[in-house]
Amino acid sequence: MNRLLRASSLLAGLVLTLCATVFVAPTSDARQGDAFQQKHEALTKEYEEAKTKWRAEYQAADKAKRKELNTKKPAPEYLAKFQALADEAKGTETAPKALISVMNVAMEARRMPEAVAAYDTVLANYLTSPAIDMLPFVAQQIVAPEQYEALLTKLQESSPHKNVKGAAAFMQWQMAQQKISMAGGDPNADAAILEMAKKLAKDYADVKAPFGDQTFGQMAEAFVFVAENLTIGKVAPDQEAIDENGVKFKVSDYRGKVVVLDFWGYW
Amino acid sequence: MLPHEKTLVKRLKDEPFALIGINSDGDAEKVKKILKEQEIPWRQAIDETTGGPWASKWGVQGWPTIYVLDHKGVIRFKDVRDEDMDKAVNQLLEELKAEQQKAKGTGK
Repeated sequence: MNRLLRASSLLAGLVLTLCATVFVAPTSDARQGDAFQQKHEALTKEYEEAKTKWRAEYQAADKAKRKELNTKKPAPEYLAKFQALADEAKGTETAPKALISVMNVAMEARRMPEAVAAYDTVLANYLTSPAIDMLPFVAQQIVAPEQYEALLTKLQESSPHKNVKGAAAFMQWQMAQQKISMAGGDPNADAAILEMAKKLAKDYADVKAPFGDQTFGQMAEAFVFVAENLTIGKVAPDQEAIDENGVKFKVSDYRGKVVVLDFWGYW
Repeated sequence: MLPHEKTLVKRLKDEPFALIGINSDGDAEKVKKILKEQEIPWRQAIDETTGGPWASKWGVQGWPTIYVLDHKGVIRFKDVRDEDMDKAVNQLLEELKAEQQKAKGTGK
């Protein structure tokens, strides 16, 4: 039940790369809005490259050099850059995006007060922006659990945008899964989670998530499929496979035999 | 995993049993090379990547993920490894044999 949850905890790391890919229609001055947007994308890319470079240097370094490199991580420098962009783009759709980047980079720089400040600014000024669909994925690590749950409810109630509502509903579902996986198995809770997934699949079938290439609905649908078809006691779904020699086959070709299916990779 | 699976496949070569790998390493050529190098004799479904059609439909997020099906295709065990896999497979083979015996008995 908690598989998707593990996937979601990886999301925070992807956030920066991804929020640059979400297109947001500029509101007031379109041209200036575009310029800010491009700046945010460029800065995001630059930061990712700086991190990659730092990691490579770190891996190649000896112990003494590593100690030095640990004091020269790129996060603090880029934190200031994203903060500056958020100020500069104030009032445009790029501002909340830059602020979400600030939250991420501040966490990476272990400067939580700045992450919290950026969060507060988004809540105060950009709660109805369509550009905050990454917020539910980032805020979990910034605010207390009760505050976080309140945020998810608030976004679903007050955001006029389906991408934001969908992100909040998706994370609410993830949180519910997390809770029952910590409490241990409970059939009633499992059924409630499945109902939530079905509702997500229906309500957000066409709403693209701000990461990957699936919609929230598709992600929930995949969960529903697993819960309904891949539990012990169900006949394994039949799906066509192509073997290493290019020959097609199905699991049902093996009726009459005991079968072990091993999803594996040699890596 | 691999050494155990090789032993299992060898031990049950004359039994109604099949181990099928669903591989996410790459295309058939790449997988064939790995099979040869690692001396893996059992059949593979080529899923190409960790986001392949099998892995995504079956919601696989971790590798290896194991499903054990009985002779009717019913999922009976999940994520059993090594001795647990042996036990699971042995149990299902016994069930199959018991059913065949029973069918023989009533068939007359």
